[in-house]
Amino acid sequence: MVDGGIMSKEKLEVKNLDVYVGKKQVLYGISLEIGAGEIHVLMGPNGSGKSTLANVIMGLPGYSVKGKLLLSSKDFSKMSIPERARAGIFLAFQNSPEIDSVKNVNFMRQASLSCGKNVEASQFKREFEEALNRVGLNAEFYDRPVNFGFSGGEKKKNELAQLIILNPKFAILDEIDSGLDVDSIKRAVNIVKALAAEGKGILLITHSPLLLKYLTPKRIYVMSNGRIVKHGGSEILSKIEREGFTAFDKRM
Amino acid sequence: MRIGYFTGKAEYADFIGNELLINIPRDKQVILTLITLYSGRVRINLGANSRLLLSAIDMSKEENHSIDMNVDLSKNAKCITTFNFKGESTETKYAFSANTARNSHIALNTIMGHKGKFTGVISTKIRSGAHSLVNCLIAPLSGSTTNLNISADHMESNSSNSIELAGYAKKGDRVDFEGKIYVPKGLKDVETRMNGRFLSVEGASVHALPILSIYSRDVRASHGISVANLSIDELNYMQSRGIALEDAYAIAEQGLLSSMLNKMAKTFEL
Repeated sequence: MVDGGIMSKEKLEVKNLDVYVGKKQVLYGISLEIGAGEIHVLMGPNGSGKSTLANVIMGLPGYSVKGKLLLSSKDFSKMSIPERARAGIFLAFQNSPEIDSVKNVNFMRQASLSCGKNVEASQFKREFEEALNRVGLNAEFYDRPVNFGFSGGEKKKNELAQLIILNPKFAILDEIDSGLDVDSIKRAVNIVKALAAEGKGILLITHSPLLLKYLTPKRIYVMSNGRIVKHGGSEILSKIEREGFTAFDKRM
Repeated sequence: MRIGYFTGKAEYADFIGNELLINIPRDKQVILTLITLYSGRVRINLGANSRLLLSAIDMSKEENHSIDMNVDLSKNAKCITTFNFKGESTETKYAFSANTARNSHIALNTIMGHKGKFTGVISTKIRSGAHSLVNCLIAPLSGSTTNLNISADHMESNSSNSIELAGYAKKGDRVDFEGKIYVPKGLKDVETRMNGRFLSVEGASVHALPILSIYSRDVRASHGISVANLSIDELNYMQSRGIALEDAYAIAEQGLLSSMLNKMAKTFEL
């Protein structure tokens, strides 16, 4: 994928990843590789380990990890959460918390400064307003407390606005479609496509095939009981629609 | 020792010993700025239809420091006072009391940015048609102790009160707050509220006790005091956007300060 006119070699790799919560193993030998500008999809039933994988890649606490996490061939498994964000990894949370003491604009201004985007305040203001508008949130959300009192769909849109502003190299979108109406899903998909076209690698996590009616991912992974039990192209989708995720459980 | 210095029209204010007397005649509008350095009293009398905008900053370095302030309002008078405590006393005692008259307004904005131990006692008596607004921001230097008591007594019907607090406590800080609202039996058309938000971190101690003693039926009352740390989820979320832990706390504090300063700014619209 072209990035600034140069073929980008950026990639996010997860290699043979085992994850434990306390002594209990929750993920088993997970491997995947996402290149710049590629859209990959991770599917699976509730509780299959999709969000755990996303949390582990972002470095959220509570997990012990064996295996490799590589960003453009560099090990990032020892990086703190903010270091991973600054290195170019973004996680759109499935359940983003409400922070009632911080305004959305101040939060995003601090986030973008922390990630090295040091633009004039007036330019930042314009860019944030444009991002909100692009995801379908009105200007009122500019200085509302972060996610406070937002509906489920508004939280998802706010995550996308943050993604646009922070401009990471790789984005993991954990159930970005949940809580969105059909029109908003189409809008979200168009944003994801555009971001991929700009060179970002995207991992979409969902358990709903609906999202995939509007885009064609490079690869689909199916998770079940902490394992990737199948990966491939869009033929997987028709099998899921026909037989559900239980069809893949049998392969274990 | 006189209490400090003021700027503004000298004809309305006078030092007598350690007391500052401020008398605003009927129908006059006066702006005064006061710097307090030593212990003493401030007595303020506002004539009917008068206005006073008083901006005070405490910069005492006395070991034991006390400021006793009293405001008496005549009917239709308005007094807006902002008191910013930035002193370095080991112990500061601050007492503020206001007696309203019919249709008068009292607004008190207090910013506690102190060092050491701070004890504040704020009380207002609210008559018919009167409004009392008390905004307090507790933003002490690290390792301090704050003990704050605020009471609002509704004396007559058709009176309103608002107590708003915001503050944060860092490691080693202690904040004790007690707020009391009293509405006696038989009053009508009373509006009263007390809200507060404290942000505390591990190792800080914050205790808040709101007490509403309401004995009338015709009262619109609300209260809500929360004491919270930034949760692990909030911190993880902020960090996932590249924000360092110390910056996460800083923007949460700034949010709290900004929200309170906006409330204080609104008192100037009175």
